[in-house]
Amino acid sequence: MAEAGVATVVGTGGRRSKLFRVGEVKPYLFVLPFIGLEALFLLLPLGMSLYYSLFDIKYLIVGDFVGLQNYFEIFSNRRFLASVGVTMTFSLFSLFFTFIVGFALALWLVKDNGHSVFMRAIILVPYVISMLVGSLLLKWVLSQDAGLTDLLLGPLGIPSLSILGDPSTAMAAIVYNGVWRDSAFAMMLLMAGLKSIPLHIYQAAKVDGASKLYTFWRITLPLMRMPILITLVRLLLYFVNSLTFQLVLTGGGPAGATTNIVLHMYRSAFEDSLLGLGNAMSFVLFLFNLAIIAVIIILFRVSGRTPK
Amino acid sequence: MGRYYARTLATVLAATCSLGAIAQANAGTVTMWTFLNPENTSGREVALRNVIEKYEANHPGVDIVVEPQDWATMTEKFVLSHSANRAPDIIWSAQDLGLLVNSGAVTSLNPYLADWLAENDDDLLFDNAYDNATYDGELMAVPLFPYSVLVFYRKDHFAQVGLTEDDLDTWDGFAAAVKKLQDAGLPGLLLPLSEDKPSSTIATTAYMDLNDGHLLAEGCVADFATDIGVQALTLQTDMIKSGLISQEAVARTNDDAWDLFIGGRGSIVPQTSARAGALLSSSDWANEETVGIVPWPSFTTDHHGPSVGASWQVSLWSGSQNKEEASDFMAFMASEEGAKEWAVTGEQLPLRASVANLPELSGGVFALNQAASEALNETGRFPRPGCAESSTMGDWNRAAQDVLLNGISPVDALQEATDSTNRRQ
Amino acid sequence: MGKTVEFCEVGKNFGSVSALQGLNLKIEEGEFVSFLGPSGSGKTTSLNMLAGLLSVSAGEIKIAGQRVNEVPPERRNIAMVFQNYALYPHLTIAENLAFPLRARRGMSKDEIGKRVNDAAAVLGVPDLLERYPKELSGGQQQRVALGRALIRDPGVLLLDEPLSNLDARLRIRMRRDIKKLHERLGATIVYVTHDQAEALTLSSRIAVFNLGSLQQFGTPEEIYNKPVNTFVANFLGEREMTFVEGSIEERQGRQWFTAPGVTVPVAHETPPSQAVTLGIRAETLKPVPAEGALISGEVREVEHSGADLILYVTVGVQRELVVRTEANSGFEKGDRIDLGLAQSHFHLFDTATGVALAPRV
Ligand SMILES: Nc1ncnc2c1ncn2[C@@H]1O[C@H](COP(=O)(O)OP(=O)(O)O)[C@@H](O)[C@H]1O
Ligand SMILES: [Mg+2]
Repeated sequence: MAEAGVATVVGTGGRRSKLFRVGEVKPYLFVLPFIGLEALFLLLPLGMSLYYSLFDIKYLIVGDFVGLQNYFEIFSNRRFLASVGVTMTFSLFSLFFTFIVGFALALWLVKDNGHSVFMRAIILVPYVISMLVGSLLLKWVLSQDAGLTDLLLGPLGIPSLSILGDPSTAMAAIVYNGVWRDSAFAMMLLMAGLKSIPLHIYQAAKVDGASKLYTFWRITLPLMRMPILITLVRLLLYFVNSLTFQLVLTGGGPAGATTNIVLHMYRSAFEDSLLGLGNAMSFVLFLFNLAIIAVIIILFRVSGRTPK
Repeated sequence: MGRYYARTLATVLAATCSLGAIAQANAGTVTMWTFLNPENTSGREVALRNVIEKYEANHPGVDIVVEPQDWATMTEKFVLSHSANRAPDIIWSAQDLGLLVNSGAVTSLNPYLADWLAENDDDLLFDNAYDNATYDGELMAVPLFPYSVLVFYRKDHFAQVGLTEDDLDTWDGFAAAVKKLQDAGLPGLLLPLSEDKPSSTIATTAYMDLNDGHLLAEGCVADFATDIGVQALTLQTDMIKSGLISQEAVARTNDDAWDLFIGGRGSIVPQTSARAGALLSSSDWANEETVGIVPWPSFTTDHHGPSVGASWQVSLWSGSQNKEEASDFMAFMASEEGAKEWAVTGEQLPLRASVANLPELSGGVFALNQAASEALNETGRFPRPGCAESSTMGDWNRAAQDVLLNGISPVDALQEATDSTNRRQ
Repeated sequence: MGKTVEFCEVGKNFGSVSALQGLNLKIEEGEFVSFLGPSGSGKTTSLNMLAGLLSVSAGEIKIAGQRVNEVPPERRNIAMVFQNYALYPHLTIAENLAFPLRARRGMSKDEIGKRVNDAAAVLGVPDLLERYPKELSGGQQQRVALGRALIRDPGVLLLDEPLSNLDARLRIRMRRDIKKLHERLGATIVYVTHDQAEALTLSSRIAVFNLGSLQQFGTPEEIYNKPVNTFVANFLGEREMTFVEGSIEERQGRQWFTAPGVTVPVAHETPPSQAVTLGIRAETLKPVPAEGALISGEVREVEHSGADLILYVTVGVQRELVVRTEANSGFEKGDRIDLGLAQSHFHLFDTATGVALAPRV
């Protein structure tokens, strides 16, 4: 039946019990290689990272076992704590704007006409060009010397300002970089979700007298639960773990205003060659990531009445 | 020191793979590792080719074999090869001489070049580079391409507002000059103050000046949170606060500032002297009439401020079977004939007074090199061997940013810079 | 109360494809009209234009005498039931039923609750209100879709193949329920179907579509008994009509249709060319005693279909006719059979145009 497809998009809760039926070993044999690969490429490095975070390592030479010393050092370090704040500020602002812009674009361009296809291609440009090139480009555009900001803001009576030289505008700049690049990605994920909602549902809503806005709130949004959740999680993880924007556009500055956890970790591990410390940070970051996913999923569980 | 081992380990694999490629040393053949490839056509590479051809012509029994290397991993690879007893006779290095010396991979040149040195001492420039290559009285390397971070300025802009390079002798004069340029609507001072890709700044130069020419104390120990540290840092932050330096400077790397200067957007910029040639070839306005190189200012007129120097230099493998021939060739590279090739064809700073005055070395890049050479000769200070100093410039920049943007006191900011630098050593 | 619906010269193009041409139709208040035709004939297109889901390329559509071409669907006071029900999968049945009321605002919670309960009771789904659509059977979903359409007393109710996803028995039951609902509500209903049985049993009038144009609009009786052309004649009826090409001849003061092996008396207007086609349905002929027979032949095959017996009869040279008789008529394969007219007249068409020729009285 056609509508079964619709329903699965919305809720998968009912299938849960089947997953853990005992006695059927065969299906699990098929996924075993992938679990093995996962273990090799995810769990193993993770375990190693945890292990090495317990040592004092300088320049790849494993020194004394120091227990949780590295963790104490991290959490008593003003700059690390500041980088946690920067990570949260950057991630939340970027997430908010990227999601809104991406969703707006998806709604705008979901119809498959010539105009949409053309606009989608244009919007995808920031996403498909190399992150490095994109951030370098923005760095040039946003630099005071390029004069573009003066040109744009001057007529508004805003005096010449150094966007990258001021902590708050520099943060705005990397948020802009993130939104500029990843809105297209959000658009694609959300558009796939929108396309999975059958046309008949919208036709029914129209005939039932629902305005565009009412349809959006009562039909589109609830049916987009899963795509929205997936988009939010992916974007957030992506922003929390981003490095290129900070490294290329602002160099983490000024005065550490855009140094996120990853950049701080990168500098400690590879520029200062303090690998024990770096591993401790990466492990903290990993837990941070887990917490984020958990929080989002719980939020979705709590807020939604998913059909059984 | 440990930082060397990090990179050493990282290149183990690459090195072991290429060990077999090294020709077994045999009499009459001198092997050399350098980042230059004599087959190529850049100035320095053509110069190397010429030097080798001349030497081989004079010494029919000797064959100089160059094995070009990636400059970033060359030192580590050499040390590993040394351990395997299959290293080349001659190795080039820039900032890694400390590793070569401490690992015992290179040997003293005193037994071979003491006489040569005594004979040529008067003519050879850059005593400080030789000092830097001398460990416990033993000369461990012969400097070939010295360079240092100096002050580039626009002669034409200075002339327009009646300034001369003498105005840059003191920090007061320096600040006044910048102000004068600004008031005349001319581009001013470009200073890279980003934590990323840092270079010498006003603050680090002033600090070194006040600290006997050194950034770090004996044993690579930093101690910046002192009165002189505060004085040096404040000198710089005051110039930003008073608008002599754009706030945008905190977002600029060394390369950013340099690109702006090439683009005609600055009248003063600190930069390594090695980039003089590139400046002339990549901008349409730059020539010896419009751009000049001067030493850093200081607090008084009796001396100039220190500049951070470095040099590509050649050392002799301690396991070499051809030490005589190899050291002879090394001396030839720094001979009048060799020095002339490097300076004329390679457009490097002239190594000898006799070469510096050659008529060929006039105008264009040679004029700039001449100025750089003098400044380096007078003010060049080489980092203590084995100290991780390049990120320290970034620590100072961070301190400046913290003072300017985070309202942190100079002493506290410098204490953080001190801690960061010391944590790294 | 139901509203009138009018199509005046309505056409629809999708790009260069013409899906509907020159549709003229007037549906009276409270009437039950079916759009009948094969797949792709333009029924849904017409209905969607009436609903406002598709723009009108040409002509004018009126509801209650008012031009609605530019009126958006939500302001046309219509309701619609879709072939696959289009229930909102994330809403409970109660919420689905309440959706049209809530979407329009202005109705109190109590009133909405009351209407939902009433509708559920009428449709026989009162205990399903808290379930989600996918937890219901197809028939139940169909009822909910109907309920949602009817909950706010629309002036016009549109149904697009509402029963085609149900099994045969359920379809017949739902057919009756829809008929009852119509009688109770009095709304004007436009019912799209490709199933002639539904159209014939439910409608007060039927509009037959083919290739994007209206073929005939009339009562079920007219459509069945007086098809205007070969297409309508063939499309109606359980089986395909047998067409015999021949000509009209006047003999002995009477008009005869003659074709090889078939010669029967007729009484119709004649086309100039005299080339005509005789249409014979299974109901057109019946077995008669030999002396009154129009045609005689041999039973070639016998097919039992419940109450009826279907005979395949060969007449003349290899021509096959289909004849329906009572199950107890006792014919067997190989029997000789004499056939006479079971209705007042034959269907006769102009061979050149396919247009029906009117019988002379
Ligand atoms: N959106 C569309 N784009 C192009 N052609 C269409 C579209 N919708 C319907 N058609 C065409 O219009 C004709 C009528 O379709 P439709 O009204 O759906 O037929 P029915 O409902 O009678 O089966 C068909 O030939 C169909 O292919
Ligand atoms: Mg249809």
